[in-house]
Amino acid sequence: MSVASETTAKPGAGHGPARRWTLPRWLREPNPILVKELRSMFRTKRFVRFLYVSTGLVGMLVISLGGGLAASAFTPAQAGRAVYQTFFSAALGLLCLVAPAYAATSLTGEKEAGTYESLILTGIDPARIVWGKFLASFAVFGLVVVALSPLVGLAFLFGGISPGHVVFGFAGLAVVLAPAVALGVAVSARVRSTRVALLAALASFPPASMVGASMLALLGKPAGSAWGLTMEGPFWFAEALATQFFHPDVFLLVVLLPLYLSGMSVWFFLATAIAGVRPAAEDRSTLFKWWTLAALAGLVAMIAGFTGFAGRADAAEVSVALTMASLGPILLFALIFMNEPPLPPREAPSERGSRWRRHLRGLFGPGAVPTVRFAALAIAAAAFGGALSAMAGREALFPGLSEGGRTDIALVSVGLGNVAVGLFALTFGAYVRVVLRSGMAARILTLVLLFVLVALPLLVSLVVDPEGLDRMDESLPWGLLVTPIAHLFVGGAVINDSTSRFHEIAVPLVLYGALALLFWVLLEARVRRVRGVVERQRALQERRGERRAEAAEPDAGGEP
Amino acid sequence: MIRVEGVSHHFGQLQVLHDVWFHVPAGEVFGFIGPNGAGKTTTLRMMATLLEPAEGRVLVDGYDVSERPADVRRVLGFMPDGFGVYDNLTVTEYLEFFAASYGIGPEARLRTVRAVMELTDLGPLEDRLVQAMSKGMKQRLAIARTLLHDPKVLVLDEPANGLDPRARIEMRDLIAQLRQLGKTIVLSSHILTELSDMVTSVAILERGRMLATGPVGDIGEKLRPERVVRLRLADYPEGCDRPLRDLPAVTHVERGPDGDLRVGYRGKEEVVAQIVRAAVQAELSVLRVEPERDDLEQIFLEVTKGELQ
Repeated sequence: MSVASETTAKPGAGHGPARRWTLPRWLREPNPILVKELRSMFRTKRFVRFLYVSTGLVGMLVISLGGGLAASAFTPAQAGRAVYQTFFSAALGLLCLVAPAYAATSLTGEKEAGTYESLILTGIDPARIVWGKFLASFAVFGLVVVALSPLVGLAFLFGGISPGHVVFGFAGLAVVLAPAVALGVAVSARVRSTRVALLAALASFPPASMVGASMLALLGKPAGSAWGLTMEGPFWFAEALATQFFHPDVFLLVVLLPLYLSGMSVWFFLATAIAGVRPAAEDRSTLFKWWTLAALAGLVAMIAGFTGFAGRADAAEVSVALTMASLGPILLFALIFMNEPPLPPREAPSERGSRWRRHLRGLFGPGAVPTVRFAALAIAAAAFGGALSAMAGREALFPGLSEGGRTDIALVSVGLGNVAVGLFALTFGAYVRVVLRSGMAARILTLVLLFVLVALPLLVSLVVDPEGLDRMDESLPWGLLVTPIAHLFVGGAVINDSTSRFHEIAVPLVLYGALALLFWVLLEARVRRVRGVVERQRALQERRGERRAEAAEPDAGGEP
Repeated sequence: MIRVEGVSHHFGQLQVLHDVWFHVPAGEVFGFIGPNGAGKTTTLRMMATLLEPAEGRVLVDGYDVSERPADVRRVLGFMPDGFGVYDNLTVTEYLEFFAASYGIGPEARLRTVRAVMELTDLGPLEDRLVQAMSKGMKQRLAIARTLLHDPKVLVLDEPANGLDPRARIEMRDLIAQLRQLGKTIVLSSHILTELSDMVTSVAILERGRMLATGPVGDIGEKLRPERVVRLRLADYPEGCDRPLRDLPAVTHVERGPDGDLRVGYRGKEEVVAQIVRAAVQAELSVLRVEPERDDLEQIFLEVTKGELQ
């Protein structure tokens, strides 16, 4: 044993106030998780084997297809495009299957190996852990794509493909790869077992990506006829980008929209992962609040944008349809923000920042009631921001399209109904969360309740008044009026019919509005009670400690 | 330095800790002993902020582990039982990774890593892959990792578990060195003979209840108010025990199996001086005086009931 020597680190090194991450600092102090992951990965034989197998399989597929097509009646350009589509489809399939599964083991592997707790106890920011894992997995699969890339050269031998096609094809892979990896990391942060994480990742992303790729392939036809494209299959967008990148429609729909959707998915999954890594005593909801603000901006822009894109004849219907569809994001916001503990986290930096920031944090920061407040505003903004921007956009682009105000009434009806239903889901879930102390239970119960509230009245209506559904154009059956989607029917009917049915919106609005108010009041009361109990327990603990110390003093010289 | 105040905890229906109180003063080596399932690891994990107590509170250097976990992690290094390591990194890379995770800047990082490797004798293995190290060396590496941010408190769960005799002795020496550096060390172990050489105080836990806590000698005194000192004489003449029996503090005198006089007494250690003085005055040739120590194993057996947990 050597002579004892002191470490040169200051006591508690590394746990000081967080410094801002700038590019020079990032380059000087790269993410340690990223460095460690890459070092570990490239030292395993498993990765090298995976590279051999993946390039071998895709290579065999592409070369055999190319050989077959060369001997067939296809023109060289057609053959080249077919090889191109096959290569990128195969690469996409490989990434969608393997990347989320690989990323799903990134944190569960640490948990099972017993290194996770040591890592957490270093005090490293959970965001750095998650970003490190994400970037490492992304880099690993980036390398796989680079290893595969020479195979696409075969398409050039046939012709019909430009370098732009190839560049945008790889860009498309990156746009899909990022959410695939982020989903895997999110799953990994939320479960303990690698097996469960693998199952969850494989059961979610590959099927979803298959559906997405099929839809993308189907969109190729209208896009081809609109923009004069010749390429078919899911990678038609590469031709659109290679030939008409700065065309406004192409730039908006094929560049900005996919980038926005991919970026928002990555942001959401990484926020989920960071919340999963953070201890319960820390703030987990603020990340989602920032995400929600960005999602709201996108939602409002999309509703206005798509209304503008629609032809003059369809603008009104499109704006109502999109406002109806905003119920989806509204319910998503409700589901996200119902899982908040009754009291703000004990380590919330409530003393930091300016007076305004502290005030805002008190109003909309962590804790069940401030979070419900924030989510209520987000729901209102999603409902009315969409509706109002649709109205304003429509008036700006297609003046005089109001059709006697009917569309506006439909938009307001749908918006009001969305707010009432969204608030009901939010407050009910938040109340259940606080009572049962389980976010998962709150979400499941809320979804089950919404399903029952839709399905049960519909079934009863079908049994009691089977013809009632056929008369929906005239008036909604009474049973359907109490469902959380009644306002959607009414909104649809108003735009097709007349303003005379506006009164029907009152039933779901009053019902769900009142229920939302009731659960909000119950939630506030419950939170007050929890706060009282916690404060009493703390005071009791203090007194017990003092009494114990006093009792032990004579024996232990002040050390109980 | 560490205060555990009225802590209770349960996993589902199973109550694992019942109103546990104890205090670890700064600079102590505190042994945490108890049968399997007694609640030792649960308590240590609470100290390390990995678990929140259902009731009561745990304070480390004045910080509540539930309310200020980040501050607790700043002053505490924890080595869990069954810790894991990154097999594909070298010793230096492993420690550099953790130093970076602790937020030690690049300038100080290598210096810190080298100092810790010197302290833990890992210097000669700096370029070795972790997967090629022995269990004892991995254990040492895990302790080195906990030292990187120079914590005031070290919490080691079964640090000698699975080590061979040499590695255990080295571990004991390392802990003694760390104590000299002023660290407060809390450690749990099943190997009580080793603990008794290292610890200054102990807490004995059984079925989630604290049975005894304090310096080993104090606990022994509470359990057995009577102490024994052994006297070895050059010879044992008839009635040699009489002058000793006459001392008021002496309770009994008997010949031990090895022939020594075993003198039982009540009171402080000053009584031993009275016994020696009486023996010398009675012209007995005293060769050796040896107070019988409070053996940790014996205390443990007396305190615990040995029931299945």
